[in-house]
This record gives sequence, structure tokens and C-alpha cells, in this order.
Amino acid sequence: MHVLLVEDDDLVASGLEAGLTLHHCTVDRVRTTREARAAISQFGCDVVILDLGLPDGDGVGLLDHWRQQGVATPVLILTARDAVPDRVRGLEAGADDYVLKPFELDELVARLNALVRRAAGRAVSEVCHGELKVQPDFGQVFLHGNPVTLSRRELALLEKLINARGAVLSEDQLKDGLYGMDTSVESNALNVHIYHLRRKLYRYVVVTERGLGYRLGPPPESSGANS
Amino acid sequence: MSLQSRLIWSLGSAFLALWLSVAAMMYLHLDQQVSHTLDQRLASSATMVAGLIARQPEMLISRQSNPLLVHPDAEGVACQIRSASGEVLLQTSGSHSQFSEATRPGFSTRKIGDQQWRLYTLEQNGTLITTADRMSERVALANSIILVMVVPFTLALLGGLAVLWWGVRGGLRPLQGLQDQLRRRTPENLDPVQLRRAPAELTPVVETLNGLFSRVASTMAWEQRFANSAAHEFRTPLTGIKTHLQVAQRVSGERQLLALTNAEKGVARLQSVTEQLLMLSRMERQGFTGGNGCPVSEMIDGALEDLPQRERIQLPAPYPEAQLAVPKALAVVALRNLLENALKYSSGPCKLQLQANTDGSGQRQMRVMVRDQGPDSNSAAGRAGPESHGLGLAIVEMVVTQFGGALISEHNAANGMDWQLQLPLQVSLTNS
Repeated sequence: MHVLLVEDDDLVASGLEAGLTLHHCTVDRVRTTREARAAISQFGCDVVILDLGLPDGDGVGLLDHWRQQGVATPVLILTARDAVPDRVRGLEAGADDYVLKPFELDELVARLNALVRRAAGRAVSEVCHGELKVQPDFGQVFLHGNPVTLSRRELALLEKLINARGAVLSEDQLKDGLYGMDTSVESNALNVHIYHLRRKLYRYVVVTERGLGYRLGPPPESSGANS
Repeated sequence: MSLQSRLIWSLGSAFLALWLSVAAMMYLHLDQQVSHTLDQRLASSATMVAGLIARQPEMLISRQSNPLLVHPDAEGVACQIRSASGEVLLQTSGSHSQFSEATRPGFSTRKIGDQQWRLYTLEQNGTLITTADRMSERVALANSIILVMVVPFTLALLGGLAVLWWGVRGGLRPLQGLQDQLRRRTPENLDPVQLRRAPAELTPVVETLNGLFSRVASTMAWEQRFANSAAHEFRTPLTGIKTHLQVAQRVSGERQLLALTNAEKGVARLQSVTEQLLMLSRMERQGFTGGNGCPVSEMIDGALEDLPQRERIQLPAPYPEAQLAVPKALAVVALRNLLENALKYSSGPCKLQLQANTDGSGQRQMRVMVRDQGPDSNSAAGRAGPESHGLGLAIVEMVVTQFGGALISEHNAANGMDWQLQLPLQVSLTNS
């Protein structure tokens, strides 16, 4: 899961980055509404965590601007403002969830997963693609009932392809989802992750559409067929 | 008792008493005038009879067996002419033998039979001429006159009272409207009162009320902002501590150490916020006392003492020589909070400028300016106003407001903020 974190406080932001990374999330952090506007227009993310009290403006104003611009990315407001009018204002401006500081890390991650799941049109956390089962909330993958260990990037890549439901994703889209604003990524890093996915799962789990990008391949053959 | 009832009762009572007094005076005067007029009539009648006898004395010489002179049309009036010896020479019908008892000239009132009579006796050339009115007739006449006077008087009195009631009620209607508006108000409603066609006397009351509502609304808004700031200032480091501790529980080695170090930073921040709140509480409890004032140099030195990142601040040289009308402890707290806020929101190598000078004209205020260059020298991001900042600025605002000063913030050309602290100077020193 690729998270855009809009938070001006370094202490809170570093804690969130560390905690979300433990839950296999890719986190890009910005401090101001201006940086947040630039980030959302430069790369796509799965979900936004938005603080309301930012140095150069109010988070609700930023959210309102995004919704008016047609940005449909799920937004979770994370703030210290606990008054009911503030919550109502945030949700009415287009927020999908409202969490008060301080929070439980597990609950926050569960809420983020729920938002991403709903945005992908899924009601349950487990995604089944034939004999391939992915549990994004727990970062677990099963092939023919057997657990498969994937790295954070590989899991994020698989999630991205599954949530696309067979649609072709360009190389840039996949890189945005995996690396966000990290510009120090080597050019062949995506190919390396795809190679590892094919090796750990099955050969045609990722299909290359030449000149276009990549898409999720057909489900794996059943274990009975293999035997 | 309501104001309306009180006004109606007091004005009505005064009105009634005044009218009744006037009526009583008129009644007494009229009664006297009627009696006097009737007496004059009796005297005139006697004089007229005396004139007739003087011109025709044979009326008394040719005596007749029956001295009855005439039958007057009206009952209750009579005339009798007697000789000096008391012999009745002439009389009208209705005259009474007892009239002869009135031998002394002038007016007298006698009871003759069961009737009261008013008599007037005139002596002329040895004859006594007595004219008489029956008192019951006179009383009936007086009563008729009084009745004619009382009916319109009573109607006018009742009408006057009704007009008074209507006038008082109409006059107090704006006040009633104001009362209804205030009674219908919910406690949280602080909108200004609006009275249509409010009289001039009520306008100051309405303006005072609206001013009060406005001040209460401002105070509540400030309290709300302060509560939000306090919540933000408390919850943010608490969130940092909790998040880093949760991370520390799940990792080990270097990462665990880093998480614990960050949690400790959060604890330090939380401690700072707690101390600020305690200071605020002490300031409110002690009523902003603590001295008579201090030199500007002591305020600046006190604010810079042990201040982290002090080297980033460019100081004014030399310090202005002026005496603030604010106790040193509070002046130091205000300036230190302003500096800490500017240092926090302009992180990086950029310098802060601290300027201090008196205002040009009256030299009644000291202006202390803290100028920063924004949150990030590489970013063109703007900055929000004081409402987005924390508890420190709330404390500054509280101090300057208490001493008639002001805190003004505005964006500057360097993408930062100018924070201007206006503090009053002591009058004796500024005049010298």
C-alpha cells in the first residue's frame, strides 16, 4: 500500500513512517499543503493520511480542493481536533475516515486497508486469484495453500496488479506505487521485483504487454493439474 | 410588579388624585357661587318690592281683609310685607306666619314647620319686607348643577385613564419586544439583538447589550481556539510518543533505539507544554502581578537566557533605553514564547531578526519585532496566521491583552512572518 502522509510535525511523521513501513506500506511524507498538492499531481498513491493543522493552511481546505479537482484517492484525516463540528466539516469536505491523535497503530493500518479495499471495490480483505490468495492486511500470500514469503516491494507490486483487476498498468504507475517520491531507485529495480514475483509464485503471474506495461496474468494452475 | 403595572398605577393614581382635587375645589366654589347668587336674588326681590311700595304707597294704605297678593308660579318662593308692629300687610301665597319672626334685617335660615327656609328681610319706612326661598328647592338646584358638572368630568377622567394605559403600554412595547427576544434566546445564541423602531432611549441599552454579546462571542472564540491549541499541543507529542513506543515494541537493535530516542523527544515536548500550561494557570491565578515594570534590556536578556538555537537570533544593538509597564516575568515569558515559536517555524540555518524600538510620536509603546524567514528556506510555501500556532502564542496574547498591548502578525517578503509585540511603556519615563 502506497501512503501519502501529509504531516508537519517531524516527531509524529517519523513514528508513522516507521510504523507503516512495518506493515509493508510505502510512505511518502510532505509537510505543507503546497507540497501535498504537488505530490498528488505527480504520482498516484493508494491512500492519503492528512493532518489538519498545517503551517501554510488548513487540511480541510486542501481536501476540498482535491475533491473539486476530481482527486478520488481515499483520504483519512488524522488530527488532534476532536470537536464534532471539526469531524463533520472534515467528512463533508470529502474525507473517508477521521481518526483522532493519539491512535493505535494497528487500528490505523486496519482503517487504511479498509479504505483501499473499498476503493478497489472489494468487501473482504482476502483476495483470491485461483489458487493464489493474498491477504494485504497481514502482508501474507498463499499459493496452493502454502505461504510464500514476499518482500515489501514485491507485495506492493502484487497488490497493485490485483487491485487493477487485469487492467494494464504502465511502468510509471507501478513505480509510483512502489517507490513514490524516492528518486534514488535504479532503472531496472521494477524488473527485478517482477522477476522475483515470477520466481516465487509462478511464471505467468505478471504478463508483459509490450509497449504498454504489465498486467496480472491468469490464475495459477490447480495443484491437481500440476500433479 | 412589572414596569408597565408600576407606571400605570403611579400615573393613574396621580391623575385620579389631581382630577378629584380639582373636582372638589370646583364643587365647593360652585356651591358657594350658587348660594350667593340665590341670596342675591332674594335681596333683589325684596328691593324690587320695596321700590314698588315706595311708588304706590296706597297698596298698604287701602287695607283689605285678605292680604294675599299673588299666587307665584314656582313653589318654594314667598314674600311678606309687615308693619313695624308685626301686622302682615301683604303676602304671597305660601308665605308663613312665622316669617314675622325674622324682624332683623338681613339674611337668616330658619326651620319653619318641617322645611328649611332662607329669608331676607329689608326694612323701609317702617315696613319690613321679607323674601324667602325654601332650602329644598335651593339644594335641588345645586344638585342639578353638580350633576351636570360630574357626568362629563367622570367620562373625561375614565377616558384619561384609558389613554394613559394605552400610552404606557404602547410606549413600553419596544422594551417588551426586547424582553421577548432575550427570553426566547438559547444560551449559546450570541447574535446581536435587533429591535425595529427602537426609541432613542433604548438604543444605548441595545448597543450595550450587543457589545456585551460581541465581547462574549470573542471570548468564547478565543477560548475555543485556546482549547484547540492546547489539545493540539498535548496530543501531538503524545501521538509521537505512543507511535514510537509501538514501533519500538516490534523492532530491535538500531531501529528500536531510534524509536525510543524519538519517544524521549516527545516526552520533552510534552513536559514543555505542561510547564506552559502551568505557567498560564499561575498567571491567571495571581492576576498578572509580579512587579511594576522592567527595562527593555532585562526583558530581552531574560528571554534569551538558555534559549536553544540562540545563535540564530540577530539582536538589536544597542538595546533601547525604556521602561516597560509590564512586570519582568511576564514580559520575558511573552518574548520568549514568541522567539521559540519563530525558531520552531523557521527551522534551518536562516537567521531571526529581533528588533526593538519605541513608536515615533508619543513614545507610549515599545514595539518588539521578531522576523523569521518561513518554514523552509527552499520552499515557497506560505504561512498561516496565529490561529494555527500553539499554546505559546496564546500565552503571549493573554499577556499583551492584559496590559493593553497587542500582538500583530503579518507575512513578510522573505516568505516568513513578522511578529510584532506592542507593549506599553511607563508614563513617567516616557515624559522625561
